[in-house]
Amino acid sequence: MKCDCDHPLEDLKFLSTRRHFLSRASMGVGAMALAKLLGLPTTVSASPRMADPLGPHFVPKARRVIYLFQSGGPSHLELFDYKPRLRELNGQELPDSVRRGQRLTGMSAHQSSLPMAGSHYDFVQDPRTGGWFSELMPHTMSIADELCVVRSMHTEAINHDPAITFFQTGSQQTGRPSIGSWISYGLGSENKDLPAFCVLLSRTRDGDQPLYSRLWGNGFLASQHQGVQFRSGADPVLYLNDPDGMDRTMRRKMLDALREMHLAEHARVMDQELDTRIAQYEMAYRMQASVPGAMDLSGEPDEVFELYGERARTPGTFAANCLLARRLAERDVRFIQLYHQGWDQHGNLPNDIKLMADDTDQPSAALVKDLKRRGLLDDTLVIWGGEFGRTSYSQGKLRPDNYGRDHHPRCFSIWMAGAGVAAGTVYGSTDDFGYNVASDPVHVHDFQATMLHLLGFDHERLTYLHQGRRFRLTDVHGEVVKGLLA
Amino acid sequence: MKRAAPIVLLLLVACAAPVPEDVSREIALLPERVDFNFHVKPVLSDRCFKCHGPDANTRVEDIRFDTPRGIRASRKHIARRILAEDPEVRMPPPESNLTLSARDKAVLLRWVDQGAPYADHWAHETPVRPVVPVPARAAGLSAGSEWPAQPIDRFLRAAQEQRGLEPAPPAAPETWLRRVHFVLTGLPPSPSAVESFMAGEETREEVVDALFASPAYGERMAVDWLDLARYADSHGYQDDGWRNMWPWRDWVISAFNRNMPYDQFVTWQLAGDLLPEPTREQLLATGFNRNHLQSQEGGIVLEEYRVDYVADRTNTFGKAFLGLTAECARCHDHKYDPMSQEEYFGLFAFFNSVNEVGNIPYAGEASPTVVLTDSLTEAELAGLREEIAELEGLVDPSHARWDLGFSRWDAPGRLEPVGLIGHFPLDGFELVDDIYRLEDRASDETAYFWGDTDKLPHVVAGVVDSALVLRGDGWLDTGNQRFRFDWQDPFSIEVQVKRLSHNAIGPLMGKSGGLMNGNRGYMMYIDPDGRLRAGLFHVAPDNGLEVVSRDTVGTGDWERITMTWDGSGTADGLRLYRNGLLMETDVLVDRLEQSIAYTVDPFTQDSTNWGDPGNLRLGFTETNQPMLKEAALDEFRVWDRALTAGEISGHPPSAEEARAFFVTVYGEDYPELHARLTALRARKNRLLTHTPSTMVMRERNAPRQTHLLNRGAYDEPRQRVEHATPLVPYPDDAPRNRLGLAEWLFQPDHPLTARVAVNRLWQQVFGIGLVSTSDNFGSQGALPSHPELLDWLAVEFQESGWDIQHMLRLMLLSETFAQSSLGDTAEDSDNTWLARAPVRRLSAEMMRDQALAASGLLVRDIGGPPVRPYQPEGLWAQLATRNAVRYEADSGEKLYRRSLYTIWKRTVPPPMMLTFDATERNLCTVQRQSTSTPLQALVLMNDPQFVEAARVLGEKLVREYDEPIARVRHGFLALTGRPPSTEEQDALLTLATEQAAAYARSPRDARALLEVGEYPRDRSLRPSEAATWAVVASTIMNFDGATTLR
Repeated sequence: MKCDCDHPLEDLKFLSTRRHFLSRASMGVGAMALAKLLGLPTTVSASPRMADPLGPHFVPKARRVIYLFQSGGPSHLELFDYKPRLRELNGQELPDSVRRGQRLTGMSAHQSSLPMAGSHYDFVQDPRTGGWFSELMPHTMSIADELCVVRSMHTEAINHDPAITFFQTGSQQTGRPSIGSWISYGLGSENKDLPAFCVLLSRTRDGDQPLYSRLWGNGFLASQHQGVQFRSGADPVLYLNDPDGMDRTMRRKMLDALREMHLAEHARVMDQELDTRIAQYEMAYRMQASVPGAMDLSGEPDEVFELYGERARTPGTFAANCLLARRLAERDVRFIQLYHQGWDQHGNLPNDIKLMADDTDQPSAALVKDLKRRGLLDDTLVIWGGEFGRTSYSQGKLRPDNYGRDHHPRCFSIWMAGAGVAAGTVYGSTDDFGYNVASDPVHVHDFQATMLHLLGFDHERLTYLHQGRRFRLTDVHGEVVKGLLA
Repeated sequence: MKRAAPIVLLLLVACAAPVPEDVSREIALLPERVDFNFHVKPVLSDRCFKCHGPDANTRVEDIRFDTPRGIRASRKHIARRILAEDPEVRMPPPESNLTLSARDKAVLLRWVDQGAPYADHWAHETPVRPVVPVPARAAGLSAGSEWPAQPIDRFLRAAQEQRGLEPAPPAAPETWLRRVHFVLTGLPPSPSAVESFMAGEETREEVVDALFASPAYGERMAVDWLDLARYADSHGYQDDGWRNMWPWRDWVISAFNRNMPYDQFVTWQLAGDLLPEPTREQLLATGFNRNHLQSQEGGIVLEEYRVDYVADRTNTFGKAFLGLTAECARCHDHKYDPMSQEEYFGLFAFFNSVNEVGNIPYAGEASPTVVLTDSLTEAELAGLREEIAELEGLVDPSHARWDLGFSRWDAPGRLEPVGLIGHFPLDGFELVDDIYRLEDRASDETAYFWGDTDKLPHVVAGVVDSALVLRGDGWLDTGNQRFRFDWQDPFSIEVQVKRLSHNAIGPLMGKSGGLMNGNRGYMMYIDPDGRLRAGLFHVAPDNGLEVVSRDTVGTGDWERITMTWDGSGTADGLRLYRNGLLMETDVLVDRLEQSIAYTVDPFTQDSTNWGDPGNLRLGFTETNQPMLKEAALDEFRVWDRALTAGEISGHPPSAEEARAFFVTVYGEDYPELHARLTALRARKNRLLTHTPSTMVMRERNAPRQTHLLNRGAYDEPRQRVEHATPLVPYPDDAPRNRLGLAEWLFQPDHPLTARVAVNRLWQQVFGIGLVSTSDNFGSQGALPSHPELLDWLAVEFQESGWDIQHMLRLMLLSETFAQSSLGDTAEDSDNTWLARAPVRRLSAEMMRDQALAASGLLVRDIGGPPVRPYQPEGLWAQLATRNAVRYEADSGEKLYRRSLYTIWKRTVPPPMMLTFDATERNLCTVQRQSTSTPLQALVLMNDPQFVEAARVLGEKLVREYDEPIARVRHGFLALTGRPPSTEEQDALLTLATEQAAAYARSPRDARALLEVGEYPRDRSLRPSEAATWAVVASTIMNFDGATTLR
């Protein structure tokens, strides 16, 4: 389906690779200034800090990513990982032979007993793929044939901050670039009117785990690669709107005067920076038009809201953000990062996880369907998942109809869909307790390596030299998981 | 100058493989002798050390090129391996993703050809003051007449001459003035300063001296130091509550303004607490090492985070003072620099004994802290202490005033405890309204069981009637805020305990709000080894007092445990008795300064606790710890007095015991005297609790042992490691603590300290350091562009007494700094040789401060709590869920303070600042990026702070100047520090005409623009005119001449 962008960038539209762009970019000064703003190196030889060649290293399957991050740690046991045996064992002590010395958080480490808790919710088998889905996830099940459900994810951290930071930057410590920044650095932007890396936030209700903006920070990469938060409301990107009392004509005239001054300055000081300065203001001017266009859902027909659910009409909801994600994908934004807060069910899990599922199931599935029918799913990678799973034992008192689950790093589930992903499959498995990976483990770094692979990168070669060391998203680990690929 | 001979030789060396043509070409371009440090080491380090360098664990086939021995052993293979076509033989191997360029190969071949000589890393050799060069061309000329007198210029000129570069002519005076203003104060020169300097009314020396004397100097210097010290106003991990660190920030400003010598400045920050009789200021300075992130997330493993804090200090020390990427050696030996993992933990040991805990409170400053009393408070405290001491003397049982009364008193055979306010016999529960209640014989209240009712305590035979056996997952609770004592209140608590097994460890009893409140309250534990530990805390572990018994509590027998507290505020007032006998104890900490009942929010001044301040409970103190189990408890009592020994012993009292009992129970006017004492103590407590405190460094009484941590992980300790330093030996006579570490750092022959520091000053003045990687002086760092100049400056810095202003003055008064930035960029595109002045974009802070200064809005107050200027709605609320959720902008003067005072919430830093490349303040950073993005244009055009500044400046121009030309000129002067060119003036005048016409048509728009920001608009002006000039001012604000230092 054709993109209805306000300002399609004709001269970039057919450039499939960054190197192609660079060879063109090196042709003209204006293009070079533009390249700088888009976060591309301004000469083909690039900066010595950058990996050489930067990428892509081979033909990518995915041109963009929509990452539906579920913050707080959704329970795999109620959503994707069917464990009938755990129900049978309900109330029995988690055997030490299963726990195998796994460290616990300070929230359940004090418990004198760790009673196993079966899922409060039933599971249904998808007839097409044979995969099991929770009754909480009917819409997701309806797209089972598009999904690759990974049930054997595992991570290292047991607390939110380090675990999310690990997932999104490859390190538990702060200071590394986020995935989106790496992608922006590696691929640059395909749309000169929008940032390459956009971030949308939502939450089901207040009071859950907080988030922090360094999750879309550029770390040591150039700040062009910072994620740009798109917000609901009048000023979707910070400071996007001209002040009251200045209309577009006035802004244009002001920019014309500014341009004239910059050209004069350029003639005086002979500094290429002035080209960048001019391009910087022109791009800002175009963004002022293109961002509201991308954010404006008023032109979406009713059937779209039926697909995503009525909540998509309310700005700032997960459903509205899913719809926006589709619109940004249409505009060739490289990395669209959603964060949805609220999955941290230490207690009262049966009730609270249902609220979360209600908020996220339909829009997530709708996004995949919508991308599919628009022909965008072929080259868009969609990811759904959180930072860790939850314990098979109850945190706090296990009651017949109520329990909680603590953080669990040893196994959890995510799903992927779209470009190059093995659709209609379930990858990996856990033991009968949903506590340990039983087959085909996928470490966070493996997941990251696989995602980069789909984007055309050898994860060992997408590097940046910082403080004398070549850093990469996957640190010194990670293997592409072939089983996740189509 | 190209020589063929070495190539022939080289072919002999490399006979195993022919030298490709491209490599031969590169060989011909090399100097005759390649230098190990400057040519060879960068190639070896970057391409070979990963597998053949310092890290023994990843070293392949025991081949190494980082030592002379290793090179000697393997040099004969180098040529063959790097030239090999066969990927099985070729080095580096394909799987390393590393390759050698033709030049790299040429360098290595020539080096091998020269015998592969080794030299120590340049930065690890002590700098020696080099001879100031007399450039070759000048030597024969009239000695020095056309050559600059300044050594700095001479070093630079010599390097330029070697490359055939000519220095640029001097810049216009106003250009120099703007540069020096921003470098030293971060603010633009005022238009009048520009005009008087252009008129030649001041010398450069006078300008520099005046700027050093301006308080804005300290503010400017502080900004870089705050980056280095990762300063922020919040803790940084996801919960991200506030911390009260701005007093430390103000100290930094003041230290720079006093031009404190660098060695003293750093020593105080590293080890002020270890100086003899440290002053408040010296303690405050140590906040440097507490600026790192700290976690408040519930459920974290305490040690995991504490280790991270220590690692952060270690890494910061490495980067800030040694230019060393120490963090690389946390998990394994450093891959490039001579720092083993063991040496990393040797350095780590210096920072490992702080009396701190991994999970810091939501309410109360994380200990250790210092209370920041001012002189007024100090005077009041001194008076209070005197009065308290006097009363303490009077109420002491040994005082003669009690002789008469005691001599008349007829002591009974046994002393019954007096002052009972709670007596829980723990004989069994009564189920009332679904609550398992316990009788209190001393009141009408009840206690109750709280927790998993499947774990309801068993009732068993007790010391008196029955007793209860705790089973974990629950506790006995005395109810809502009963027995709420502050430290000036004496009290006693007793319980009979029978440990049924060695599993009966942990919280015996306590009243505390848990870690979220820094364990504020009082509590007693049974340690795993059976010792009893008891304490009172404002914020554990340092702001409190704690003792531990030498004897242990066994299992299987009933033990009567009594704790008495006398309200004195010091550890010797806390006593433990076992079966009536006083236990010997050791003091773990004795530094209780503030209330054990509440804290004061430093931002709102409200008395507060986070959530529940906790009830007095048996078997529980805080959620992170297992509850007491397998322990029988009986006869739990609370008194509102410090029981005397005779009351506790149960035996006939000694004369001394009888006297103590008599005085405190029957002493005439004792109640009044004691009430006065308690009131004075309460006043002292209140005074200190309501005085803000701030985090500092302070060691534990017993130092922690440091172990090498396998993979850097907190839970994989290996061999024990002693305090030790990398690269340079530790002075024999220096103490093995942070003070000794500072001594080590500033010993005269230290190769790095002065170089690293002076390089940062160079970076501040010239934009890029002489070592361009100012954070890395190691093998992977850049080589100094002017090694001799760097050494000259380093020696000069030391010999000047580490005088920062002296060094800045040398740089700022150099001809190099004064030259024009225009010039041919083709010859030296990076401007390494400084044959022209550098061009730089203003920093985030400078950008905003300039707008405020130019408009006249800037408020020049120095220091104080952080301020909250305009920020878009809802930014914090969208991420934060618990702490600091709502951003409420200040009003009035606080909107217009310098940017370094803007509140820094780490999880959501001020967006404008990040857009302009400020660091996130999470880690030590000594170099900022400088990028161009469209978001920056949006900020300068639309951020209300800038729009308001533009319209206030516009109003000022209209008010003060009638002629459009004069308005343009003065607006331009205010924002760019120079008069406009004709083209610039014309463009702005045309714009003014267009805007005037537009606003004349639409006065509503004009008024709307003038309403942006809180500052009242000047209603005496015609709106359309004022708005027109607001747009003109905004245009200049967005102009390169304003945003860039040229």
